[in-house]
Amino acid sequence: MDSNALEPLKNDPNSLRDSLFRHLKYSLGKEFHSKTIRDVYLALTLSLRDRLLEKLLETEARYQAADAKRLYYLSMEFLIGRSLGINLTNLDIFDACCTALMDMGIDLEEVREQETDAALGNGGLGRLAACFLDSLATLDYPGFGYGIHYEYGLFRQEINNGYQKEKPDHWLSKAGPFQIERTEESCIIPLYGRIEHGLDLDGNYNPMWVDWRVILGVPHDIPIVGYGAKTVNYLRLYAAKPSSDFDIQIFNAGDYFRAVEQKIKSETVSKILYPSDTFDTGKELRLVQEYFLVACSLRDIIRRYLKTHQGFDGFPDKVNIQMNDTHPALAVAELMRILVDEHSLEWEAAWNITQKTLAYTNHTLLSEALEKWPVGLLEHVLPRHLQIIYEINHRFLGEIAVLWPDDSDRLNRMSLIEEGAEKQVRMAHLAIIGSHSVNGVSALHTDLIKTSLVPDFFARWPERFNNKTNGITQRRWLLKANPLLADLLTETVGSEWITDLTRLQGLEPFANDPAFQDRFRKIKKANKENLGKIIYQTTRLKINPDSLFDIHAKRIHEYKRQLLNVMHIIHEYFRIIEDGHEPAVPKTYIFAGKAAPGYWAAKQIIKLIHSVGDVIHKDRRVKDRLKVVFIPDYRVSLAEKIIPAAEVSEQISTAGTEASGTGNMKFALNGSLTIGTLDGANVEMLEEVGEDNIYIFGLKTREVQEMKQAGTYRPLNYYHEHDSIRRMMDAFWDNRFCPQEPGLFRWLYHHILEKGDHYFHLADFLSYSRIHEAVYSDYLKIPVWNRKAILNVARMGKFSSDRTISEYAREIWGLTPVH
Amino acid sequence: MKIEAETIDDILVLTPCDPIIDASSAADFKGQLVTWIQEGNTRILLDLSFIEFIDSSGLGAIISLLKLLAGKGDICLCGIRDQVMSLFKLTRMDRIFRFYSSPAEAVEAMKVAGIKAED
Repeated sequence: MDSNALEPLKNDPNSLRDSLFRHLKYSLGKEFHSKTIRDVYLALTLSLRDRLLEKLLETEARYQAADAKRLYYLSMEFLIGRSLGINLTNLDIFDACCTALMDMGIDLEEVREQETDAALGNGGLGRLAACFLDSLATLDYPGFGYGIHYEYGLFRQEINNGYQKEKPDHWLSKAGPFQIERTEESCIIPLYGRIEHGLDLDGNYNPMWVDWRVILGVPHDIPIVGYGAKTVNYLRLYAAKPSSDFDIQIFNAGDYFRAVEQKIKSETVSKILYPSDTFDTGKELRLVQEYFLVACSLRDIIRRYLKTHQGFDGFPDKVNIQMNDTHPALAVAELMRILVDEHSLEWEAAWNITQKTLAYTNHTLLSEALEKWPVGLLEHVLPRHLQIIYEINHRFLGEIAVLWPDDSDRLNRMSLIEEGAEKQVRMAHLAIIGSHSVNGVSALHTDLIKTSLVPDFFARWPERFNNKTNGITQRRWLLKANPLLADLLTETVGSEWITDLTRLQGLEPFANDPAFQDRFRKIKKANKENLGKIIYQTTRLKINPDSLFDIHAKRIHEYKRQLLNVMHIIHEYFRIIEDGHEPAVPKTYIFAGKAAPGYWAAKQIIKLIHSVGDVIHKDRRVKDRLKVVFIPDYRVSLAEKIIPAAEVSEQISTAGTEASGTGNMKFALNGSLTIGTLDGANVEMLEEVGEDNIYIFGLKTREVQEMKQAGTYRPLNYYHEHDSIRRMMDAFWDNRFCPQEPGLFRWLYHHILEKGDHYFHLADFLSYSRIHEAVYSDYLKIPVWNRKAILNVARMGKFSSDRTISEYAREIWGLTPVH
Repeated sequence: MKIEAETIDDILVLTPCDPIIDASSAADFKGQLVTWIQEGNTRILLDLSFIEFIDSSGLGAIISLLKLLAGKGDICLCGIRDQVMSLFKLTRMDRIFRFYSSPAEAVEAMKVAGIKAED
């Protein structure tokens, strides 16, 4: 008897309705008449889960029959957002479900609003991981995500008197039941302890890792369905639990408090996502989290491999592991430890297997942002891994010394260990040394990795370095988020764009067509009106849907230069009230994004945005021609509402700081025009959409680098030479935007004029102002603006994560789709 | 912790009867083993066939026996379950002991090793 005897589940409205009724009754114990909207949400989720699991099992059977090579994507962050809508879309039962619910007098939109975002990530890196999972499944690749099952995701952002306040995000209490706990596949993970030095039976040195403590990693699987529902992979998230036997023994011995204390300590590991998008120096818990992820993942991967294979010679032919940034870089040491210590492989054989299995994606250009761990901390938490890292380093430096004799500077630069008052392990070096591939996430970024970030490693292994420009899934970011535009596109060019975004090129002949432009513009207006309602609900600000929506939505960070945007808004305000400028069309500047809790300057910028908005909105001379909005609690589900409404997208990082960006792609795909620097993927967007259809300004990367190296940048010169800059900067000194709190923004005056303006705000200010004038001038010419916007949509084909994943699969992983 | 003891020739076969050796029982386990050694037993076979789980303090107790013998004796293990063996491998303790699948096999091997040592 086997489960194949079961009839496959049907997806017509009647079958969906029956599923829903069954789950209401038998899973939730509710009669239809006593249901709440939340009950409907849970029952619907369970009904979808049935269908996802059916396909997941079919998919796994297909993979096993093919003995398919598998890709495991290790990431500390997966910024998934909501799942119900995308599952309905990818299962292609959105309309059937809508009908089924309508027949019961229930609105699907109201049900969808019950779902909370799974915010297990900070920003771009976590969202990239989630887009990649969607593409892996859509393209029928055996690709799986491995992460941590954080109990608390990224904090909820509330605004109190203009200041960010962080509130806990206990997403699990409101999460739908998409996930399956797989207790039977738990792993035992050792930590801490010490090395006992001894000899083995043959008299060789034998280091023994003893006195460790143990935590349990319990996997939770979230099904990930590809578009068309042929393939369902999973995202496996590990939750930390105390080792229960240990726990019970202490309890039985009568030490209840120690039992509870140990339980709490163990569960702390997966309690909360670190809310910073740069690394937290020396935080032991974060190191433990990183090892926990790596250890659970590798145990699981190897256990699965050994079920059907003998020995490890073929391991890289069946397994590839991608490290998303250096957070999982301990995989290099852990895989070596497992192969050498637990499976008794010789070092060289183990090292060969490790390098062929692992690959590393870099997301950072700033060398000060590269992750490092103090040697002392590693010794305390992972003594055996530190020994292995030393051995790796010893052998590696031996090779380098042969290739570059008498070059001790090179050895120091390349060493895994950074010398100094406190020795540190350079995790990027470990990741590079231990991988067969190192990629950047845009052409510019990869070039800079080779020439500036790690040129010594590029010199040693040029063949390892390659580019994989980031991408986004059009299924979430256009099909789901912008259904009106998606319908128009499908009607015009067919539906193939959903799985092949280059098909949108078919829109090009319609870019000048008045009827098409008119429909396109009406859709944008409808999206703006929706966003206007959300803005009113969350901020009580009334926004004119006929104003130009200029949107800057991303993490708040000095290098992303929300400050530059605010400076320009202040300039525009003064032009209106002091220069008599009367813009023909009003503008609404919209900001959204979270600041890391410990990042003071970013939090002050949020306050500045609110303060500038307050002053502008109260000034009758402005006559509603300028609005400044900050929408709180930016998250994936909010981004899905903000992005379709944008007309101008701000991508204005200092050149050479943003590795790629992905928000830039999402906005353009939804018909927004970009104001941007030549940074990250903006460079490639310029190549794709054409210079007439994007607004590029500011210093280029080389110019910034040269000025920094020569020390020739003088912000004060700009202040003295340009009235507009002086007027704008004096406003911070003169408390124009903080009359009730004098001195509040004087730090900006000092920061920019006296402390070097590290991100070149003043250097780019004039060019930025001019480009805004060009944007505005084009905006007034409606057919010109529409044409540019339509061409942006038509030419974004390159930026689908399907293309990115296909490149990874072909060039790094050697992965084949399993249809 | 209950440990059954049996002597076969000059080999002391010790069989811990609890399924778990961990922090709460390791001290007692170690104490009993130390006593056996102090009584002059130098050739010991640990039969771990009842053990389902051993944590690092249990493993540490076994290592301490080796230290106590200081090369003037022999400790072998038998009856190790897969889960327990994986913990020995994790610590690299599998490289400092000889393992056998059953007490009979272990005793036979230890007798042969003992004769060779005398030669």
